[in-house]
Amino acid sequence: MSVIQLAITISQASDIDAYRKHADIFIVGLAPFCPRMEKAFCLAELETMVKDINASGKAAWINASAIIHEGAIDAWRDACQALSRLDVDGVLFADPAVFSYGADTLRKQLIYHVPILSNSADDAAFWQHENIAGVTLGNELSLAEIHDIACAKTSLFALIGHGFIPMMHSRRPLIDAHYQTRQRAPDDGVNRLFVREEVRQETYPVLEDAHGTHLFRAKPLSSFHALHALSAHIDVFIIDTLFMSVKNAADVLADYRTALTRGDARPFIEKYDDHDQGFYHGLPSSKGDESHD
Amino acid sequence: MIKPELLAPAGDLEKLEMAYAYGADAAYIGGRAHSLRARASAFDIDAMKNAARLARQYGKKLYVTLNTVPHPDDYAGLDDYLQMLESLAIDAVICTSLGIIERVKKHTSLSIHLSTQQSVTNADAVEFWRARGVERIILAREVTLDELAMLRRRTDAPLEVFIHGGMCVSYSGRCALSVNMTGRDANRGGCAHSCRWRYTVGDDGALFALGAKELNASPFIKRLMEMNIDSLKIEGRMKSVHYVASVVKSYRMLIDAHAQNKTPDMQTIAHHLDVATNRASSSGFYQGMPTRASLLDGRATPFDPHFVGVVLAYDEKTQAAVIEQRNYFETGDALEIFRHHGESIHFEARPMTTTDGQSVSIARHPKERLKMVVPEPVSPLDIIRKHLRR
Repeated sequence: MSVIQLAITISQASDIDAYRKHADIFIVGLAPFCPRMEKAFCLAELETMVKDINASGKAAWINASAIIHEGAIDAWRDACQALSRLDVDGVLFADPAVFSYGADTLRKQLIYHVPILSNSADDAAFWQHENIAGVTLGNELSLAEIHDIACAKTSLFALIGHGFIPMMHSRRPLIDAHYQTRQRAPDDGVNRLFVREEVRQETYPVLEDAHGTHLFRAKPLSSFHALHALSAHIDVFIIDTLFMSVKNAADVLADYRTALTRGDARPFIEKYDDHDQGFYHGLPSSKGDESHD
Repeated sequence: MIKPELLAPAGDLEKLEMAYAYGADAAYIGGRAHSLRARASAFDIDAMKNAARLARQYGKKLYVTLNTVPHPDDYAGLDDYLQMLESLAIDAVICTSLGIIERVKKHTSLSIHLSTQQSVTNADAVEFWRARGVERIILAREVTLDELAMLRRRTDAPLEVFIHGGMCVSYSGRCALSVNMTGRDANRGGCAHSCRWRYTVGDDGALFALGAKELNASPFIKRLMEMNIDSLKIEGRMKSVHYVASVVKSYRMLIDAHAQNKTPDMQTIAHHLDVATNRASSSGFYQGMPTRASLLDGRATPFDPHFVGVVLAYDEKTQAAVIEQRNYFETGDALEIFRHHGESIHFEARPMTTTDGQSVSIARHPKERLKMVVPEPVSPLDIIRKHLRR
């Protein structure tokens, strides 16, 4: 269970120290091309952080997985060219526009990072044929499906295995629109809000950023119960720290490291039993088929 | 300026014929597999063969959606299905999955249109897909008119955009609300429209609008034509024959008027769109970032009260139309016969007879066939709707 690498997202440069001991890969957002992160960084900041990460023998991945609209294409071209000059090990991308500006220099670092569209071996194979570094798999896959997909793999597979999993991405600034209409601001700021559906009494975290509005599953995903099976197929296990404190995220990271080192995740299953158990064993029973139509 | 293709949805053979009769240049259908509306598709293989035959008969194009994002088991039977589609001589398939695209390329010579589910929003992405064998790109609905103009200046690839119908509040395809909340995967044809349910945000219980109003791009058709957009697409395979007929004819009138450098009759067009689209509409992203006004309040309740019947036949001697009932109407109601060719006819519903000769004053049985004298000659596929005196 030890070949899997642990990656963690970074919200502040100081987070690196908190995670340095147990993380193999640090994922840093490139502003303004990184959605769904608490903070993304300009190129100058990234350069400093990448040097710090590399100095400790760890890998630096850049998250640049925005959908690139035509009006941003010049800035995207400049960002791709600058990224190719950084000593990074991975670049998470979502928009094929990266191939126009970074294909020659970045191809071996590129990881296709649109999990919701990456649910089969054939889809993964498409990107493998583009000779990029890898693909992030979908979060609605069962373990059996991950196994099937991994049987044909020829490149790196990543998976967001812990944290709040996005359910929806709208380009619309839904929260801003809501509070503008109500002519007031949310009490706790726009990024500490929850949406509640009238039938289900779950609350879903919602985040608005420069890329629009993102709605997340009610509870953070935990993968301890599936870690043994995942470690046979997944190369990089991503801990997404969005909505988590640095202390909490560091604890989670340490727990996964311990589970992987000992080859035994069972002691941690109970600790995280209030988390979302994901789709690893098929559709979660709690989801039911209670629909409105 | 090129005259763009008008592309219509067709959820069954009747809607397909309506789409063609009312002026669509092309229509798209989905089979019972690999399509986002597969759960409700009326197109089994025989129906698809009939659809292809109908397209040839009308001299129009037919596209088939293969727009799911498959999981491993969903590939079962795909290769045979693709070969069947190729044997139908359809004009293109609409794909999202890169895996399915590769299978289409490997097993068929079918043209491929890239679904809006891939969220293409810039010219570099357009060229990326074009270089990989995709013939036409269906752009994301989140592209504004200004962005589209910039994009078009950098690529001459065939482009398709949505002009009317339902809009996901999310980037299409980037939504797992339904599968997480109901177990029905929107990207595999099971969308439960969870975005249209009622939500609140924060602690004050205020309703949080998550669903988007329908798109109505009728004011922007001229500008889209000036940008040489190749295909203008109407959403709505699940919607009624009335919707298909009315929306298609409206955009047909718009496109034809602009192509002839004439001023379209916007009042009539707005009327036809209003009565066919029973949900609130907005201009989507075309005028820039949508405001709160572009969102729905609460749950939508689709209902098509204006649509009461379809003309099946007309007897010149008796001046009577054979009408198939679709919604309640009665003698004395103000009716409009909305025709695929020609102006509407407005009149008051007259006494009717059933096919076995009984006199009736109320049409209350769905699909019941009734005869009624009408003031002018009508044709099969003309639509009858209620309460539309202008």
